[in-house]
Amino acid sequence: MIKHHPKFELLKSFVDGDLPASIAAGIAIHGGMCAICQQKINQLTEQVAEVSFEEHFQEKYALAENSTVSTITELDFEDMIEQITACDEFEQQKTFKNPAAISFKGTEYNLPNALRNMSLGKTAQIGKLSRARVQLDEGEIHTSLLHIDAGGSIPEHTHKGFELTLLLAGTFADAEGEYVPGDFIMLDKRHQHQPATEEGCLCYTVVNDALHFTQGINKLLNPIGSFIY
Amino acid sequence: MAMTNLPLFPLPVFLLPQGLTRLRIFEPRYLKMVSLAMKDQGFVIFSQSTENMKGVGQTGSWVEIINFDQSDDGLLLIDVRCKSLVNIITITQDADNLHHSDVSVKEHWPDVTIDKVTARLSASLKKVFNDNTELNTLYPQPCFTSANWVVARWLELLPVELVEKDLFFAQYSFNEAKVFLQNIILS
Amino acid sequence: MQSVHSGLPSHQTTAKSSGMTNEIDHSQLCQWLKAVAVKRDKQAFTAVFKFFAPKIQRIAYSKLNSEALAAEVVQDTMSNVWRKAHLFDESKGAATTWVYTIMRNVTFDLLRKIKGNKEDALSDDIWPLVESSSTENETFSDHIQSRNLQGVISTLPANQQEVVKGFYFLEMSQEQLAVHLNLPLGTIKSRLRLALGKLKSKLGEDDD
Repeated sequence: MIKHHPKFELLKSFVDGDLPASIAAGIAIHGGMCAICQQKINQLTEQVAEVSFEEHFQEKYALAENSTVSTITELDFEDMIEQITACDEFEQQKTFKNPAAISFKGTEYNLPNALRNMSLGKTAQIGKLSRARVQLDEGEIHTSLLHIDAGGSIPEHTHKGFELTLLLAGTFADAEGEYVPGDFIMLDKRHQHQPATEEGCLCYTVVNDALHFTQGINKLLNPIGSFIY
Repeated sequence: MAMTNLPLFPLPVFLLPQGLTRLRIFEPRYLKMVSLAMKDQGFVIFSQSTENMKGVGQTGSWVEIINFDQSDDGLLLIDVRCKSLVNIITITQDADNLHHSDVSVKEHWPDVTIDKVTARLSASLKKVFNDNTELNTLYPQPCFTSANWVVARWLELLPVELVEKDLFFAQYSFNEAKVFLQNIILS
Repeated sequence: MQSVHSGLPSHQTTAKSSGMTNEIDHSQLCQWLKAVAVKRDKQAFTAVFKFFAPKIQRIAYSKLNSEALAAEVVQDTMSNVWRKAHLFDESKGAATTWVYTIMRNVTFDLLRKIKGNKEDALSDDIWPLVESSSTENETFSDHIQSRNLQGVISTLPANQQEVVKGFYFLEMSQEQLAVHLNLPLGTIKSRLRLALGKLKSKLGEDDD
């Protein structure tokens, strides 16, 4: 049973489109595995969408930003409509860049749809650990697919930033207990852990090792963070 | 096919295969029943007496839980669907006063193709569904093209005493049921 | 016996209605989008455009703080609405939710582009416009819900000791049947009586 879920604030930022691609993809994958969170996401999206396009919300919004909004240049809507409707074709379903499965140490794993168009680096290996970088170019945020072979473990470690581990397949355990596929484990620098796996596992990991990170995420992931500045 | 030790829910309601109903559950023994039913093989809705073995030999509706919610007053609501009718073979009671039963699956109507009469009953039933949000919500996928389904849902809806409706638990009662509905709804 | 109307709880169990207001004419928007998808109807598209475009412009401007970028979001979002209208499925959610998803995705990809990341347009994989693995999700969902139910049960108050059965009947009243068939109540009563009489005599014959 999945016990670890993204916090509500994270789901809200996800729906708003305010998270980096790495974390947004992690939440999308979790949603595909956790019906409860997917339902929350759907509800939130519906509410946010409804409110965004309501007249009275728009008016308030205009009032709040009075000086700027009133000065937006009127777009030539007629011209835009003409351009858009000039071609009657529907968009074709695009094909994925990556294959549907990825192999680690001879085991095939399904690649979640959210990762199917992300560039994957070569797999690097140290002992029982295999790692393929997900090349998202997000500066200090590093995203990987991490495979731990049966009987393997990760040495105890801490992070200056945050660490997201999303278990995709297999199981692992640390001092806190057992984890199952779908578990979304968000740790900040105050936590230490040493995951070990008996049968082997595949994780999606997002790590930020930077001393400073952006205000928005900082607030979300580490409530103490906002006091640092 | 026989099943052992299915929980019994005594309830005066008539439910044929594929029929759905919504229940409010709050008595501890029936909460236990729901919990057992989720883990295992559902439970049996039974409209006869559970006391003193009187119900043995009677028919019940074996249901599975297909949805649940919490009511506005915080009670558990479950939607159940009848998988099949069952013959009650034994009735026992456990320490929590929940009844359990060994049952055997009872055949119901064979599949019947839709004809003129059932097509008209179907149209009329569709109208009932359209006029009734609750029914529509309960049945996201109504089968208005199935004669069995249409006749069964009409029987469940009709304002007729349970003891009369129970006649249609019989395996070869489809034609009686059709004529019965025709007399009431289409004449 | 309770009637159908009073019998079922009237509260909404689906998420659909939560937070919905009557300010936006959702069915009108759906109709327009369907006309765009089915008939490539430019008038319907113009109507959809006029509803959404100014609002999208304001939202995008406040988020990106640039007129040029806001115009790009309007152009790309509405262009996707035109080219992907066939993917809109009314049963899966409101038109506002669908257009919002497109707008959010366009903005996300644009932001990734201007922040110097890649032009990799990942948004449609993260927030798909169509559900791809629905069957897989459904079986999963049943499993999760059954677990969640146990949680719900354990939190319910256990102090209701009296033997009361609360349930709902899906049975019509004689009055409702009369209304449905557009007949006087007396006629319904006598029809029921006659039909039962016939039924019993028929079954009696069979038993003999």
